[in-house]
Amino acid sequence: MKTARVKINGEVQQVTVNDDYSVVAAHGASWREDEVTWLPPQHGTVFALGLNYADHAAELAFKAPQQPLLFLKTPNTFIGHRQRSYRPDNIDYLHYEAELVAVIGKTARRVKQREAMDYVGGYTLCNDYAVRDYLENYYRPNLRVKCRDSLSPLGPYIIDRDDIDDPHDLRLSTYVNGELRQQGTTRDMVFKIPFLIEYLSAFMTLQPGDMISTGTPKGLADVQPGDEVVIEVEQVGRLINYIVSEQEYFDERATCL
Amino acid sequence: MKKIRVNTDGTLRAATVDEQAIIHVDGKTMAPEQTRLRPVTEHAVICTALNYTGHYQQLVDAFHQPPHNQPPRQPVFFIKPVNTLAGHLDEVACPDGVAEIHTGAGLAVVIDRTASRVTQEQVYDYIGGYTLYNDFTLAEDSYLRPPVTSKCLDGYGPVGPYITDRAAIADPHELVISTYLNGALQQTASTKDLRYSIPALIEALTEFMTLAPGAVVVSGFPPGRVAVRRGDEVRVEIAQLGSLTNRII
Repeated sequence: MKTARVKINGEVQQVTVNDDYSVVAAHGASWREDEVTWLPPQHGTVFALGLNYADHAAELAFKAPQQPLLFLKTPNTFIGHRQRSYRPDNIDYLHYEAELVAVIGKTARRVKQREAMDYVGGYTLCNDYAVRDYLENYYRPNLRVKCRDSLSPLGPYIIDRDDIDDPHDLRLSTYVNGELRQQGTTRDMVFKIPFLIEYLSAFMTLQPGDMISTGTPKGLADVQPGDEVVIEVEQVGRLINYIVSEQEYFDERATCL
Repeated sequence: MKKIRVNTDGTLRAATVDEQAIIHVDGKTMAPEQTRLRPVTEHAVICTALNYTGHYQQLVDAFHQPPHNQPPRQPVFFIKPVNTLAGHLDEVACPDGVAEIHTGAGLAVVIDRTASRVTQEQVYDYIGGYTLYNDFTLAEDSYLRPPVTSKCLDGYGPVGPYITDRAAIADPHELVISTYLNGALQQTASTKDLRYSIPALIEALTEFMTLAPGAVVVSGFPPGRVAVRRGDEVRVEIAQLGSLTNRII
């Protein structure tokens, strides 16, 4: 089953999602994909992984890390399916990152790898954009690169864990304006989901709704205002996002307030 | 007036404390010992590293060398996620196999209206008040990667005990912040030594991050972290803001 949070006529609703992305509310009414406003499906802590695909690490001229390179994302950065992200003015390089996200389903503390998948409730997608111009070698990737408003589309929905055969054998793709730009497979993850759950839950408690965004393969490229960016993971789904200019984003936000 | 959050009958409630330390919650009053203070925010906390002049000066030569290559161009922020939130008098656990952990006394500002792209001149309009923060951490030997495994342990970010209204503090850059270990003074610093002032920090942060009402931003930590061991009681204090006490277990 796939579940999402959407806004319909100004009201936030928990819905189930059909294969054609139409949604069904608790009372049975249904809407097409483009008739609702999609919200991030969860709002727990998001742990993201840097350099977690060996080919991507090589692309950036790094060796794959010996330990997971973890960073955190803040809630301001999350938006739902089919929403707009902004490219800051006066930068050279804003790139997408297609990532499979494991959503924690029950409280996890000191969980071992062999039991770790019991703690996964489902999966979603994150497009973990980065503004490379703002990278600094302090707590890298720093917040200015990874925690900017609107730059982490998340969703569209959470698909139940048992609906996915093997999360470590899924094709992963990014399309910009319909053209395939990034392709990889979750087989190439350096640190896999059970390892990451053991690693994180060894020093902290993971709560239901917390998310682990597992990193991206090679194939990054700059995107510009006007671009449509779609990330897709086989069996899980596709997450659509539109790039707008800084001015367009803040003008629209001002009219919403 | 001071704002707190209390846990009464298993429910988290906003409350206030008056000059006699009496707690007012939902039209009723109670003595401080009748309830347990909870962290004054429910949000992940944004902290600033390397923001006291003395600490920065100690490290700046190394910041010209690899892996840093150049000193930071912007304030260096890090995130303490919600699992780190803790209240006044909560216990902080030293992990098995670790002899001591470090504390970090910080002046925190509490945002009270949605703050996005705020200029320095406007910053105080967005600050509802101030509180104390203690950035517990495992010993940190590098600033290269985000400090997740060292700083995001459960309960490693006590915040409180209460929020003092902004108007009660004439100048947040003239406050003495002290750390006491088992009652003995270990460290003092002055917020006049912040490299980036509070308006400068909030301007830099809200350039890219919208802060929600209730968000907490910590201005920095003085040089020389105070090490603590199991059984120790640590208290951070700013006279005008009270003191925040936690025991290590």
